[in-house]
Amino acid sequence: MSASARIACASPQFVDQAEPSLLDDWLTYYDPSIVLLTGRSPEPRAASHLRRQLDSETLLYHPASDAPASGPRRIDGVQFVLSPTEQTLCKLREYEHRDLNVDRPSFVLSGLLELDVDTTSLSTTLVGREEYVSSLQTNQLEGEYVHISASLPADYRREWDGLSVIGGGIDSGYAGTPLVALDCRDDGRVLTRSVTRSQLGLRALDQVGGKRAQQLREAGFTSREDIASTSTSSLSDLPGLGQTIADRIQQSATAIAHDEIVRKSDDPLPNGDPVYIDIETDGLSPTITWLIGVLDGTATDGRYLSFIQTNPDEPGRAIEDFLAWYTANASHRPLVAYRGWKFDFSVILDHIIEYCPHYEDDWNSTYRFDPYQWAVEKQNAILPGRTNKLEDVAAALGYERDETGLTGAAVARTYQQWMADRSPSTEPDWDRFESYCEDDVRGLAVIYESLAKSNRIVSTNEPSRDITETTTQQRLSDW
Amino acid sequence: MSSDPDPPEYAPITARGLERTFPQYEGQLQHAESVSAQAGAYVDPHEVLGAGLADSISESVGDLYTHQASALRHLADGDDVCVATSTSSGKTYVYALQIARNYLADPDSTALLVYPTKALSRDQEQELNEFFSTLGLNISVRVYDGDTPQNRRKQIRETADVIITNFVGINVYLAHHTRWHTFWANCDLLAIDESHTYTGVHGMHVAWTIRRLRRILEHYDSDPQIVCTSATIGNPSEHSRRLTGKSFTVVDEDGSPRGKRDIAFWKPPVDDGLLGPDADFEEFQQAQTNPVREASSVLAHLGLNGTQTLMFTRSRKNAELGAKYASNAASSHPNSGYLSVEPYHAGLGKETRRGTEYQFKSEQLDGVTSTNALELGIDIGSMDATILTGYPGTRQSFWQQIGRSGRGDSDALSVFVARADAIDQYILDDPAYVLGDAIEDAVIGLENNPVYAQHILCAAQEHPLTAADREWFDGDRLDRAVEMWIDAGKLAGDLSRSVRYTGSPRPQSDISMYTSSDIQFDVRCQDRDIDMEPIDRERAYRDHHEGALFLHNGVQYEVVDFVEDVPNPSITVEEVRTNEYTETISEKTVRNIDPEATRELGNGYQLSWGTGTVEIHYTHFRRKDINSGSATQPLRPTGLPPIELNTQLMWIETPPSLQDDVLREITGEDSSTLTDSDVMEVFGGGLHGAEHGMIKLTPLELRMDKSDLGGLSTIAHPETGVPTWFIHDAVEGGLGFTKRIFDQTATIAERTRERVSQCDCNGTSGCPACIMDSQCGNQNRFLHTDATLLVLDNLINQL
Ligand SMILES: [Zn+2]
Ligand SMILES: [Zn+2]
Repeated sequence: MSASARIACASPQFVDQAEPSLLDDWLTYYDPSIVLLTGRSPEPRAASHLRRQLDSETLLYHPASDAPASGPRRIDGVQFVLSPTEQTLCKLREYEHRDLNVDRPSFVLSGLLELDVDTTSLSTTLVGREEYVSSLQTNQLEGEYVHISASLPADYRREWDGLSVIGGGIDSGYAGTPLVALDCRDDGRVLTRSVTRSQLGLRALDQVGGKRAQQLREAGFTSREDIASTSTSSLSDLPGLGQTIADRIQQSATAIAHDEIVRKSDDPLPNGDPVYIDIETDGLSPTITWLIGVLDGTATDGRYLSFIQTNPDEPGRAIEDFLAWYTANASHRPLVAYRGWKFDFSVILDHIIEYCPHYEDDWNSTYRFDPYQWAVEKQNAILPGRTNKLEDVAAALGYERDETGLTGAAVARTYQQWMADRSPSTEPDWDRFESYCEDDVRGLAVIYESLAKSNRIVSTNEPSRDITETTTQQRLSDW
Repeated sequence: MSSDPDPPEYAPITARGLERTFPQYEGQLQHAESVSAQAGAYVDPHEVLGAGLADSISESVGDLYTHQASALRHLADGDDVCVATSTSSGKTYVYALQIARNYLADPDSTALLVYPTKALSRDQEQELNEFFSTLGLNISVRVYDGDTPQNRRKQIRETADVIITNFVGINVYLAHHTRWHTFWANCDLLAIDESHTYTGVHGMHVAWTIRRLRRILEHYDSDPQIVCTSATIGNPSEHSRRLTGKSFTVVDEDGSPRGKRDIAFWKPPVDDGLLGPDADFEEFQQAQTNPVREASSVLAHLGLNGTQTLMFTRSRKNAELGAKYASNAASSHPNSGYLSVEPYHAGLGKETRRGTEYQFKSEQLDGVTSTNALELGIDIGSMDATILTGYPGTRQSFWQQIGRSGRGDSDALSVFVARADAIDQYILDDPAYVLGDAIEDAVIGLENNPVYAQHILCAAQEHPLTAADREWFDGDRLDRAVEMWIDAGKLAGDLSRSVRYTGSPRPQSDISMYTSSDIQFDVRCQDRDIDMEPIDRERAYRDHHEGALFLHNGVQYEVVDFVEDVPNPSITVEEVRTNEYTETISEKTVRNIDPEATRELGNGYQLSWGTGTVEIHYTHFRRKDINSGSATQPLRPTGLPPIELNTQLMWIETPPSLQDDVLREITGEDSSTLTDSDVMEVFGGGLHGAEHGMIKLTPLELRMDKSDLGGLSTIAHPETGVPTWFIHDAVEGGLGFTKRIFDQTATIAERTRERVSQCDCNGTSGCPACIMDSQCGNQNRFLHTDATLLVLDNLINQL
């Protein structure tokens, strides 16, 4: 396994507005080695606010502060160069061999590169690039460098004439932008993780938004653990929190604290043995579904099959192969995908219409089930885990996945590069993607099986297909 | 003229009758026009439709008007057709019959109809369903828009033959086009109703949305015919082409019948005694009889004489005031009596409105005072007379309001009561403008890059972009936009293979179909809901800074909070009722001018059009009383920093010698003896007046609002080095209006000259009816009418 160091990015606005328990929860969630405070001014208040929360191991780096740290650092086996100004960039050549191993990539952290998108003149400028490049003297450098700028948004990645630039999350945690963390790996790749503010602290609890979180804090409940260990009556005494809501809040805190599912209803799960699926695409606005991972059977013993299309010129093949298998072998069984109604089911339908419309009717008559929607949106159960993401829930339920060093976004990005340039150097490591996908479907099976076990009532022999259910679900995702 | 004998004096149903009988008559009637009746021109439906369909039409509707028949013939030839005829000339039948023909040829055929408002959509859904069922055709017409319940949508997409929607909806639905695939694949007709309404920023968004729509239709192998129905505009062919990207056959020979009517052009009396030669903007407003009051007196007089009348006002407040004024006027009328009159506007409850509609229809009311809510579609029966309080902004609205009066064969009267405004006064001077054929062009500025760039992102999300898409998206300009978005991290790939969208999901939802800049202000109301589109930053700074008063849908609001430094800027407003308006003072500079087109006029005169940077600093504001015009508050700072606008502009350069010529002519003195402030007041006032006048009279040529433009004049501009005046589009990236002003400078300059020379204001500082402008950032200082005329004369000489 290659070394990796995590940077948690925070905008000063987020830090200023966050109460200590929220910062604490955020830091616990990410457990970063570096905290990168973005923003273009010194922000002493935010910096001291953060410093109080950080242990001595964690490096606080704020490129715009009055006295920023600078120079080479080796953190968790990964090489960094803190470059608050161009002066540090000029010294990279000195650092090579002395402080930096030129055979391994280094991550240059600064706030020196910024985007200016001028739609009036139809041009984008990477502001600061000229000075940056001339200070670097790239032609005299031997090592490989990745440039992370705290003045760019977290999802920004672009090669500017050989300069590999990645966004350091300027708005991280501010105004609806998620809090991001960058896992810098010593193979030169950067994986982005994200969590929204509302998935942290008391707001991570069912029925708790900003106002109620404040109310709870004022009543002395500052953490989820506080709430898990209190009685519901002490919650329901709070103004505006009837018994039902107090119950829900308390159960949700319990689910997270004890890593267990709390059932909220007697609604049964679908009958029949589920077929678990997970898809990989080329991004959040996908043009191809190139991998469908299927688990046929239980989390532990089930058979994993993957329908993969390595040739982007045949964008419908994977789906077509999958549907041929499904209609021949499993058409009476429910298809289960986590957040399926939000992504997988809808993408598959789009791509069926686009590439193999003869399967449209078959697809529309399948029984599709989304445990996330059923549990979270329809409130049939409270899921454990710090967030409701599949990997967090599955991990809370005891599922240990292999470390593949991938994220959904990284997988999509790799395929995108492969689509744009099909050469041996961009060819994805297909086996690794298949095992990443397998991890997801097995994790999904763990969640589903736990939900099934948590049933308050044993499901009776009802008809296995419930068409009205399907239509209501589609309604929720209609435009 | 008809051969009817003059109606008796007690029924003032003609312009002359009104002149003779109106008790407070002081020469208000400036012009009387009789529009004679015109018989309809008809065609037997069998000449253009198949036998079966023609039989049912003959039976249910009768003959077709010639323009309907002509449009249907062109459609049968495969043309795309723009029908530009008068309101209520049965344009709907054109596309309805084409849908019927398509359906008879292929029952799977579908059609998409786009209307500008949701209200019109519901109305037409019912009418079209009834129409098709009368014809015995099983064609289902369904509305699909933001109000359509989620659980019906799938069914409508999959089963409706005809879907009615709007462009705000289409922009969003294109993100999910696969769900519409059956509908797209069978789509044979796209009808764009009231297509002339798509101009300015909204028009640009619609034009690019239509290209995205056509591109997706092509993806499903469809290339539907397009029908645009338009009011009579100056450029129906060009406008339809710019809107849709296709070439159109225009049908504009109107075959529908028209009733006989009189139009009285009415000027409220001005109390000249109150006005000195140096009267300012406010004093003029004070001196003229309030046009709403004058119109209400006419309403009372007509009503008391048994002439049922509908009076149009420009605001809700004036609709209400008008009803009150009319009742008061009736009680002081010589044959004083009780007048039953009610206000009508969208702010009144639905039941109140239905009640008023019913009472008016059943003739229990003598009059109604209404906003333009009654202009479109709503059936309140016919009436004897209409009164227009002020020019409604376009010729088409003018005729729509005029056209509401008239029952059967009897005479109809319309009275146009002019306000103290340059355009209203121009129309009094020259009624031929509204009566004749010269009409406004509808302009769509496809050159605006910020709007274009947003639609490129959407198009890439809808289907990856390739080199073939240059055909849809203006050639090489697509390459520039793609490169910009790739550098910005929102697109990936290259056009030779494919360019995919990689930004956050659904870029369509980031588009506001009414603004152009990236930064928009959401409008929130403290005490109630407000249905107002987000505002461009430039407009927000100008009209919506904290403390500003503004009208929206006839309701007055005050801005109580202005928040910009957040990801979603907003203004918060509060409904107020005050007799004040805001005057905002600004400093403006124009720089980095880059001409794209230039016309040398000789003798040192030059016209240019191009791009440039306009920096505006709205520094202070104060409130003034609407009636007295006196300040009700001291000047207050806006607290806003200067803003920059990169936009399109046109400018006129004159030779430096013009200054001496104008000064000598007006002061009779050699310019060397004059002070700098004399030069500013006289020559500066002439350039400033020419700039104001041209901006104010441009709406005569182009469908637009004068606030879509801004201007600057200077006796020596640092970049041109000579006396210059600029007219700029008031929106980031431009609207295309200044390009048209550049093309039509001669007409606009002549109209402006005509208005200024005919204005009967005293002195030389002008008045609101000529060169004073309430939007002037310099408090209308300095303005000089005589110098304006000299400047314009010299310019016109060279054109
Ligand atoms: Zn005047
Ligand atoms: Zn001015």
